[in-house]
Amino acid sequence: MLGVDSLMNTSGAQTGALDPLRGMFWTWNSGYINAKLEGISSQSSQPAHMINYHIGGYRYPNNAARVITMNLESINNSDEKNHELFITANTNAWFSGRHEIKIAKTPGCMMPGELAGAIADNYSEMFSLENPTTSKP
Amino acid sequence: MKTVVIILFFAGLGLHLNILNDSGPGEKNQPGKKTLLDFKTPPGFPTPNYRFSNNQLTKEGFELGRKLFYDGRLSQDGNFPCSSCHQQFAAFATYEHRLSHGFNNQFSFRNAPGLFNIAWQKELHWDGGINHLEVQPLAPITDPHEMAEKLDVIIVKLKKDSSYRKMFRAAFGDESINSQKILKALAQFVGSMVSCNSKYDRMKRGELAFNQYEQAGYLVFQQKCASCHREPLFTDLSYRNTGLAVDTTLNDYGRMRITGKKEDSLRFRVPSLRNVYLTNPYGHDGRFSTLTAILNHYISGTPKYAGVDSLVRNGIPLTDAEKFSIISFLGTLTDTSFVNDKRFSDPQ
Repeated sequence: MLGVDSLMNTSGAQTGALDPLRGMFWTWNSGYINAKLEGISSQSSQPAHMINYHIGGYRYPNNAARVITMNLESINNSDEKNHELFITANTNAWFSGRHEIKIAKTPGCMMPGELAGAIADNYSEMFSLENPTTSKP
Repeated sequence: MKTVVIILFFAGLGLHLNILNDSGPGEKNQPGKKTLLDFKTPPGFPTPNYRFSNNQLTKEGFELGRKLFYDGRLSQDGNFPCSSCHQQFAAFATYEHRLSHGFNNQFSFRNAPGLFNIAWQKELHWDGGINHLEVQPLAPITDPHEMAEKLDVIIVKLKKDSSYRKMFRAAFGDESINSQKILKALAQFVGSMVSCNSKYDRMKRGELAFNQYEQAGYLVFQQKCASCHREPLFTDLSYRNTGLAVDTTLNDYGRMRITGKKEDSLRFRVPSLRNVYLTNPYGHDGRFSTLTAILNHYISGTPKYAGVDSLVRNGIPLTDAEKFSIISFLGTLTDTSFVNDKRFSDPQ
């Protein structure tokens, strides 16, 4: 699962990777921010040309968690026990996946909703597995 | 597209590792070293929503939460502990302030609600944006208009104090301090605040009788107010539009901010009326300074606004005598033993 499921969104104070001090939690509308993309773009009409995408939401119909699968066939077919995986993330997929996101039109996303869902759809396809290699301990 | 700088974060990566490596507070403790506290549901109250599951209520956890609640170090400049806006003598609301004071001479966004019977609330805040008692303190702590502090800075400050190290050890088994322990301790303290000993409660228990005005007011209240302000919590915990036009300096549309639904525009949580004599001013932005002003608002109705709750849109007729008796009745909801309860007072 890419994101935080609804149970962990509604179970109170967490620690470790889900510690709210990591800045991936909305304090005024309880819930985890599954993914953030922040930066600047000349296309953005926001102050200082900022772009800010905070993607999250766990309530129907705006659940932004996505289940992704990666093909590990070559590993399954290998006899090695330890594997090192290299996963590439293509940032452009945030903007040009299943849904087209124009920075000029939507330079930010700060709450659960349709836009967050569309961006989650997009970035759920940003990952690809690079030539799986095996390494000996 | 000329994107120059990109920073990416993903939440929850490494979650499985976390579950394996961190058994969480409580599990490392030897049972018996802590004093368990019993949370009692008062007679006639429903089952509480927050039941201290995964956060065992103990004397040590409660006392830690109490110290944190009154500690200015939870705010950036040291001046704004939780108790600066939640004053015990005002049933933990801010006395006689429409909005509360916060960091750098700023005001809060909304009127601070009283804190009592919080364990029965399913959601918190005027818009219900907080889904769990334990995560509520994150909102005022990090709000730049309120306490304006960062969690990691708070932890650094608390670690320097040996009395905190002792209290965290007593409450959670070891000296380490993290946000989860801070939040769980605060939940133990605030979740324990129960107001159930007002004159109304004692009348219900057969210990005393109302005078004639209080009794008359109670009857009118049951007919005309209790469908939203339902006994015994004196709220049905719903969100309603009571016909208050939006304040154009605050632009607060209430529940819609959380759900994004148009029909939730200007809906706010029905507040409990317990201790209402102590929690003025009233309303989500504190626009009503007196109970009479609120009753007059309901009498007049707001048929010209769209979206107003059908129970109040056309006005609730009340005679002057009924207004007087309702206000007499509301006085029976003041719980002096709660606001004087030393368990909840400043430990200093």
